Amino acid sequence: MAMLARDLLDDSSENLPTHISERLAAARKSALAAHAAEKKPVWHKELALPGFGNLHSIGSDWRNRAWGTLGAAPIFALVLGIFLISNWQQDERILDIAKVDSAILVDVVPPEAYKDNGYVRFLMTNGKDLVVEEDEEEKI
Amino acid sequence: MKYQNQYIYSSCRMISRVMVMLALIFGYQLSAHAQTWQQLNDQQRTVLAPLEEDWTSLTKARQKKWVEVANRYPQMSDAEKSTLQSRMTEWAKLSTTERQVARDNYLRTIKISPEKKAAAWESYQQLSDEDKKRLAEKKASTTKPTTVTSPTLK
Repeated sequence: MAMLARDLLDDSSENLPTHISERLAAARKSALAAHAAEKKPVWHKELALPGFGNLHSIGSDWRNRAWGTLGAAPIFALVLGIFLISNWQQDERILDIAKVDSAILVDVVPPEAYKDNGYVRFLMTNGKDLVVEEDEEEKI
Repeated sequence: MKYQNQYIYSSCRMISRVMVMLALIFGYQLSAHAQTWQQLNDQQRTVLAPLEEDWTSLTKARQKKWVEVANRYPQMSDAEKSTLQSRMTEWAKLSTTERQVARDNYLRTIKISPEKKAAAWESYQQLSDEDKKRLAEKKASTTKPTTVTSPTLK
């Protein structure tokens, strides 16, 4: 069926009346012209690049360059933004750590105490860990 | 074929621009905040004098942190000032892990009164090594990672 339909269409397209052929040709021409016009701004800057030859007017070269630079602006802005945010976060972190470090250095107990996990356990449990274990040993 | 070349060319150009930008940024980050001893002001140099010898070996982040500590110095009492200076060298010589543990422990016990801390330290020092070890092991088994442990300062 499909093959038959294809053959019938091929035959009839070859034998179209003149006025229809002309209309089809004109439509094709205008469609191609519109397509070229759409593409033009995109290729415009590309064709003006050195190394590929400038196929367009030389006078528009500065416009192409400006467009090329502007095209990269969002990426630059993004990279710059990420950099600034990460830098700011790191600075904030350093400030926080400076606060903690200055507090430890002037604290009532030396840094050596905070470095010792045993002391912190002893402090937080009021030394109960040791008492409980001694009691358990006595029971046994 | 020509269009493909143009695509490749414009992509390469874009990538090269981004690479240049990244190189500039990382270059800046490496050079930024690197303060030599001479670049510190007189007050900062006086406060950080115990660290002068090791200053160049400190990372940029740690140098910046010490500058911040020095900037807080004028607001401290006389007793705090002398305590700070006497402990600075010892603190700077601790390993990264030890400093992180100390910061973590300090923040865990921040609500405990100074009197209680001092009394506990006195009593703790009287304990036998065996008891201290047993306590430390108990602490290790209950330790949970906190946000205090700093990946930034090494």
